[in-house]
Amino acid sequence: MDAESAIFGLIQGAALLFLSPLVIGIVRKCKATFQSRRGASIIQPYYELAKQFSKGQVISRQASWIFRVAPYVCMTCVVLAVTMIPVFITASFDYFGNILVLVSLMAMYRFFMALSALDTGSSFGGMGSSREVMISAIMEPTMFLSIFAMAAITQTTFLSGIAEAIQSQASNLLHPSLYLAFFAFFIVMLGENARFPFDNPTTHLELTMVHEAMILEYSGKSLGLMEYSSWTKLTIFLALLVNMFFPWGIATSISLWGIVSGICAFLGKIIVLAIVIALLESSISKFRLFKLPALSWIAFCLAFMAVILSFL
Amino acid sequence: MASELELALSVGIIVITIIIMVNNQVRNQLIWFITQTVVLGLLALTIGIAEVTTGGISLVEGLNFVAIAVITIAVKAIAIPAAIFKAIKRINLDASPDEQPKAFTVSVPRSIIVAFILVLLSYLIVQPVLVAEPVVLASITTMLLPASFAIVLIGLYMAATAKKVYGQLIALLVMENGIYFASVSTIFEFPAIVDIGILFDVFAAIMILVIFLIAIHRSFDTIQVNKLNELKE
Repeated sequence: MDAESAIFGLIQGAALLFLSPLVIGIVRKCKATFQSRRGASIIQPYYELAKQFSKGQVISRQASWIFRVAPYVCMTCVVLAVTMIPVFITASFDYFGNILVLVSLMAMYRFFMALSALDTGSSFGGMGSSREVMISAIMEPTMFLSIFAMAAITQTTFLSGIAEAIQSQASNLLHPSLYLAFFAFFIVMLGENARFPFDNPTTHLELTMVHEAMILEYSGKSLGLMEYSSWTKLTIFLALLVNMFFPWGIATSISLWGIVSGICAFLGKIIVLAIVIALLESSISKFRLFKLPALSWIAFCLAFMAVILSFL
Repeated sequence: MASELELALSVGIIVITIIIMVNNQVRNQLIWFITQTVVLGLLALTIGIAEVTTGGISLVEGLNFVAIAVITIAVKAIAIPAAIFKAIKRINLDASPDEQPKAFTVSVPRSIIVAFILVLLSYLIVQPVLVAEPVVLASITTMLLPASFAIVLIGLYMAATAKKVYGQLIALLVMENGIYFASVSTIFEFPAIVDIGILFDVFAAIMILVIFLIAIHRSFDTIQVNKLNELKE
């Protein structure tokens, strides 16, 4: 391992951690604009975090140590994950693992979140975690298949390797399965991050909430950590989407001009994706829970198509 | 980067076709069809610009190509959907009870599997054509032709399984989009008059179908295909 990649990995991880509330703010603002509301300022999520971190917390007497530990485990998972993602330069801190490790980190995040929701014994938490586990069970095969398609095209499972291979030899790697995997991964992103049409991120209606039901028992610092980690998870998925499938403008070697253009390209692509999510959330309604397998079936077939086409 | 964009748009058109196939409501299907046509027009514009800048075709031919794309969008994304929306309003589809449950006879997951096999088949079938010796094809053609085949095949499948008359109408439109897609990905020096002729044919066919739709609804009180085989005074 060389020191430069490690430094860039840490810088990029810090940048993603810093940017994630902003991404959420942009999504919320765009959504408000599409629905003809004025909406809060795009830096509102930072204020929310500051408010929650300065508050004390109330913990149920029934809660065990899992409930106390879960926010820190979730935050650790995303902090480990952000250092592996290439943001503006393809060098990143991914010596300790490839994209499969990233998927397992996300699985651990989800496992502890579901466990903590069950821990206090409230009926909402149990309902939320059962739904979350169902959604993740139908999304995970698709996620793996779209990653396998990428690995088959680029012959590597390391994130920096994937981004570099697609960016540097674009003409050889032009393949329809790349974009089929993109669409599959986009649906996976919506499912994994509790966005429409899988879950409504703004609701507190007991019939429909999934993610909100799981963090309902948390307050104060723990709530802040839980929300911050879920926002960062969304940003991780967006960064994966833009830098694995469309690594346009990302720097492949260390140069000032490359890094500046890489930062601009990354911000531009993230904002476009945030607007797409907001557009989606304003134009469709949340699906019934039992209609979700049909959607994940589409995603699964797209990813499977991608895998088979990548061997043709 | 230009060819990356073209490939991404072509895969996007396949995905939109699958979305049209799994939708149950004619309004949503039409809105997605409009999206598909606009994406196809964008694809044609990108191909035209790329061919002119790389010197594949002359400027006049490029303008011809772009003009066809603009006319196609105008007819297929504005005029035809407007006519169909008017027909839907006229026969009051929202009030009729048989509009609701299913647009196609085959269930959605099975349709998706069939579409998936059709896409794979079209890539497999087109592959030997693309590498055949005497013909040297442009790189864009080798990338996009299988996708256009897939869209025509999915359109055919939709027409075969449609339960209502408007399902067949939309299937026809999707197939026409696939054929236009095949033409933009293979022949860049197309005379505009041929394409405009094809477009006019489709326009006339859709108009006749829309009139039929209204007439069928008036005399049978339903637009379900399986009820149309009973003879009626």
